[in-house]
Amino acid sequence: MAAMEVGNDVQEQCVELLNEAALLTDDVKKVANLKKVQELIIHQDPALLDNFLDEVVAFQSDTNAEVRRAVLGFIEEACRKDHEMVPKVVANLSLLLQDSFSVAVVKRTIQAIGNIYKITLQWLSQARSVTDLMDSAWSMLGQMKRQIISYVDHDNDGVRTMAVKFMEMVVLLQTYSEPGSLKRQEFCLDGVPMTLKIARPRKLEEEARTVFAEMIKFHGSPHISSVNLMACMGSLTLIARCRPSFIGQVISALESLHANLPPTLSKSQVNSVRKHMKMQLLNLLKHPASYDSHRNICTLLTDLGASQSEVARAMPPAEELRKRQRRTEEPPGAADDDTPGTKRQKFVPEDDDDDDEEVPAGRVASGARLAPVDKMKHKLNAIDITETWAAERLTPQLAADLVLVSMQHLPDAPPALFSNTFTPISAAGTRSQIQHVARLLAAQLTKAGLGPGVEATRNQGIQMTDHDWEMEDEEEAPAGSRRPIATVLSGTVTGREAKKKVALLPSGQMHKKHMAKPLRLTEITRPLPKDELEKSMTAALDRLLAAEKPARVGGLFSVRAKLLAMMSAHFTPQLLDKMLVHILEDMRGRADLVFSWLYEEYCNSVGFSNFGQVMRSTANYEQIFCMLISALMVRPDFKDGEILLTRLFLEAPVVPASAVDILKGFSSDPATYQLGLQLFGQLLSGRPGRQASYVPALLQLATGAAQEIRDRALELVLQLHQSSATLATLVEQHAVERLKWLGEETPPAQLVTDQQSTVPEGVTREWTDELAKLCLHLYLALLPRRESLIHELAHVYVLTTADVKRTILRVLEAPIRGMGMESPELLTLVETCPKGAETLITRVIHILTDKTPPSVELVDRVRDLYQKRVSDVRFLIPVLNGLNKSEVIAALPKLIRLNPVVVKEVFNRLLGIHADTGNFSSPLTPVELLVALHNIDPAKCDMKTIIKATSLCFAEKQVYTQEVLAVVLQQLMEQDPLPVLLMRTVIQSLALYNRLIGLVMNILTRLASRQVWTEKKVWEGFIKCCQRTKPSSYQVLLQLPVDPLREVFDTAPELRAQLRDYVNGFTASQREHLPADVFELITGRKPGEEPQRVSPPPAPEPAAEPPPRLPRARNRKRSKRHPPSSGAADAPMKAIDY
Amino acid sequence: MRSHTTSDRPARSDERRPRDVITVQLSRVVQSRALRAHPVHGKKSFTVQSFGTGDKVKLPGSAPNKPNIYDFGTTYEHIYRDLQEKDRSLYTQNGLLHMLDRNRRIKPGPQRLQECSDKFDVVISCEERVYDQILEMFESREPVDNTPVHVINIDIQDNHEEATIGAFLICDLCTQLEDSQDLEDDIDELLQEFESKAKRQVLHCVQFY
Repeated sequence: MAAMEVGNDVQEQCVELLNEAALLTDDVKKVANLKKVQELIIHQDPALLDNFLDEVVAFQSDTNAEVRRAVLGFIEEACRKDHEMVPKVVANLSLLLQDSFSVAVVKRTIQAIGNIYKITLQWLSQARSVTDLMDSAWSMLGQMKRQIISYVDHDNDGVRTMAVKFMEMVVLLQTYSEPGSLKRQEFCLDGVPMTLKIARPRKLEEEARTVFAEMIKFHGSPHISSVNLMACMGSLTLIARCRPSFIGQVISALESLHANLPPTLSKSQVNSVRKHMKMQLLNLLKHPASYDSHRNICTLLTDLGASQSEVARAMPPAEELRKRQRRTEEPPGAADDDTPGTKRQKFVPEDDDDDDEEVPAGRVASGARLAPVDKMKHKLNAIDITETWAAERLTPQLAADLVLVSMQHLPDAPPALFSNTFTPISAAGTRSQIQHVARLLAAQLTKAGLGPGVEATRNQGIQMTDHDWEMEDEEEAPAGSRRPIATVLSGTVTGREAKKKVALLPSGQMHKKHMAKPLRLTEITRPLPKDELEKSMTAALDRLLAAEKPARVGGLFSVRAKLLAMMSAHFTPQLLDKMLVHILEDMRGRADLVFSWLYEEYCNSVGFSNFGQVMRSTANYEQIFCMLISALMVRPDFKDGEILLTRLFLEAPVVPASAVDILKGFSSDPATYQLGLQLFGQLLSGRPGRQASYVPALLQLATGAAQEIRDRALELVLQLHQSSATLATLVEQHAVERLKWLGEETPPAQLVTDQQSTVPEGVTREWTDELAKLCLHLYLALLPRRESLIHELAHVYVLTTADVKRTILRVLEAPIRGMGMESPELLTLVETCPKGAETLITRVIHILTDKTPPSVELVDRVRDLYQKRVSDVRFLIPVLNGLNKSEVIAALPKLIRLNPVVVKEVFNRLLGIHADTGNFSSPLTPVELLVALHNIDPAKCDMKTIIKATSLCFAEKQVYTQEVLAVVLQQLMEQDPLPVLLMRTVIQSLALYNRLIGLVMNILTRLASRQVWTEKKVWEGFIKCCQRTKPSSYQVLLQLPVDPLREVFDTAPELRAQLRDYVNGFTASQREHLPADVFELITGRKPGEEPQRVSPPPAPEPAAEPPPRLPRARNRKRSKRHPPSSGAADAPMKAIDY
Repeated sequence: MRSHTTSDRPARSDERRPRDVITVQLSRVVQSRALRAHPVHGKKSFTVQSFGTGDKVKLPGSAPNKPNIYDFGTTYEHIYRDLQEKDRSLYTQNGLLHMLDRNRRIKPGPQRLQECSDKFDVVISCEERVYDQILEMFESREPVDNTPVHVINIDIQDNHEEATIGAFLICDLCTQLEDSQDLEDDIDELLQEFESKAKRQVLHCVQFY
């Protein structure tokens, strides 16, 4: 009765408190009320639990996180008190676990679920039969468990910590206790009967191992936070101490951590972590089961800075160690005793306390259980295997090599981590230290996935990771109907469970209040399937593209552009095409979009973007840029495209190399080259920093076959050449390189392929004029700007074939003229003319002196060259005007022997024909030239050549005027001996200028007085001259003595009659002046006799008198052959031709 | 006072508040560090308790090798009187009496952390040796409900000046920790900021109740 009253009293109190709480606005009081209710119900009247559970749990939808936490506390306590409560609250827990409003609630829920999970398993194990309700509750807890385990990757540090603790709980709960475990009064797998269908111990243990592996993985993850790391470390150590079979793995994990501390930790965090690790290791060391790993632990501890005494203090007593050793040395052979769960159940943890000495029956079973576990440990431990492997190889030699190799990678200053943790090596070189180093290396190698240990454990690892989360037994899930569990994350319950199980609804949710939950995108989203993602993107893009006008009207144009740009960075090729088409539709209007896009892409490519990659774009900045410009270049309507293209090149963040290539291709098209080269020009001025990158393309264009393109490109190249010294060098190198191709026997393949159109395939490659010029254009353009390049040409010239040489000589004119005579480089070239390049030099000099007189320097050098090295007289021709008189005269015999054209050229130079009369000065006057010709020694030069040379002079009537010739004749006549050609020249002069007759008479007279007949050739000429100049010459003839006169008559018989007529006309006094013998010779009668006939001339009497004194009869015969009346200039030449 | 190798471990605490409650575990000298921090804390919104971690309460005596030793459980009142009797002028001069006087108004007597069953969110120690002891204590316990507790060590030297500075530092840190919406998530960052601001090395570790 009293109890009833108490119960009622409590009940009333609770009702009051809860009602009050529901109305309270003060959260603190609300929590206090709930706490009181909890206290009252749990501790005073648990029977009321059933009544009030719903009411209390209803507070879980309270807006205050503390209230919800209080509810969780209540739930936890309620379950602890009465297992039957579990099915009623699991759904609530599931809701609370999803609490997206407060992380604190989630953490508290994880904590509560941990306990409730444990309680539930215990409840299941102890229940006589498993009801549907229990089954449902367990499977729901299972889902929550998986969710919590997945929280190890949660965003929140605290949630991760709680998840780690939860995992620890799962591992400890779902494994068997072992001898030497920490004594924990807790329920574990020992208490789970083999017959429990919904939670098979074997499955549970397997799951525990997987979870443990997850923990190890988390522990070793490179960016773990220090709190997580320490929590995880603590959990692992706890597991190792409670379940010694895990010790090996845990120690490996700690070793690996020690060798690879997360780089994200700060200095003090490193200190904390090391301190913590030291603590954990000391704890492990205390544990007797760690005996096998003592060496590793001690090494680690020493590394962490633990003193010997600390280590010694933590060592278990020697006696216990010995015992342990004994046990491991004689492993229990009762491996067959591995099965029974019954025995295990006997072996309750409490017994362990004093069992150690006795080794009872239960111990055998547990020892047997240990054996496979140990085996597994060894198999698992990759580090151990690699350690042994490394230790075997760690000789001083190898160690030294390793140190040397790693020297390069040492940073300049020791990192904080290192200086923090470095302890001097005291036992260097000892066996144990080598072992330790091997261990450290092994840890690093294993971490990097290298070494024999990793190989050996790879299979094992696969098994571990392939673990199936499915916890159902075969009996419950018959083959073929295995329930698919979507993902670890998934909280959905489907299939069998849904139809068979009791649906567990959250308690106290009849009047659900809807809480405003903040949106957590990462929690509620999951990656879309790829095709769906693409479909959505396409649709989104379509809408955005279509929204152009509304966006513009609505003032969101820039937002739209930005959006599109950001999306574009993650496009697939199809979407890119779509975007491109859109842009090309209205290039002018959408240029801004293009640039937003490009800049976005550029940011991505250089890593400025802070926008997470939703989907890796398949195209990068460069590709997109090229795609855009290519698309623009092929557009037929070029107007808009042209502007955009120019903007693209000038305003884009960077013009990639491939774009320059495309532009090059664009520029080499005859249809578009103008724009292309214009773009190049703008690039050069607009992006001067990157000029170097345009050079190769421009150079190629500048050496192309099409002339217009080449010329434009050449202009640009020259502009470049001027702009900077480095670029100039680059250009020149290229030019010289191409020039050198000329030196090869056949055109290099590169050149030919450059010009495929001009040289059809299959044809043997040969140097053509075209090809040779291609090599020269750039060089020649550069030559006036960089005169020193001329020397290269001279060297190459020597090597070239005759055809190429010709081409070179032909194209050389303009640049050489551009350089001018004063160019020191040209002078040097003349001076240092390489052997074989004489023709080149000649050509150069020719060009230089073609229109202007040679400079003194040039003349000096040419003269020098002529005298010392090359005796080819042609060298001198260009500089003739610079030589002095005697030199010219000395060279004349050689000069006139050259090709008539050349001789003409020589005379032109000497006489200043074609030359600019203003500054013309010749070493020889025309008179001197002609005189010099007459004075050439016939031994040096045959007469015919000289005659030809003089004829050339006569042909220049402007120069050899009457007066000039008169002077020449006079000078010649005064010479002694008379020049051979004197009379020929006289005749010629007379033929040209009749008015010279007086002078000629004068000459003839003078000659007559100089006994001209003694010089045979002149005498012949004399006679001829007389024939030509009759009747004026009669006077001269009459002055001849009789013998020469006879000779004259013999040579020219007609003269006799004419002269006779002439004499007959004389008066008597005149006749008296004639010598009698002459008179007789002329008239055939004595002076005083009357002529028989007056008017008709006397008939010739050729053979009347033999010429006894005539020395050469042949002459007469010869001269007869020629008609005496010939006025042509050639006739006398032939006469003198011997 | 400066030369004292005091090993008394006084303590101080407040009720656990419903939200993140911060408890400070201060070590060593009553006067110079732990309780010095106390009045500063007291004016703030968070609750503080202070504890010792050693076996005995040790206070400086007439000579360095003759400390005054009391068991935990002795009241401040008792100690105050005891010292007053022993050498009033000496203990007035070195400030011990003044300190005890202040302490006895705050709480009855020194408390030992190991004997306290309350759960805290944060434990702060002022000396690495004490930090080690705290960790050892937690390690030796069996975690029951896995409630995390952050153990933080800030080295504060055992003299008046440092203790005053230290008190403000700790108070500053506590304020920040209290203000945090999600302590677990923020503590790493807060501590790093604190470290760089205070130019002191901080040790930090998470343990579980």
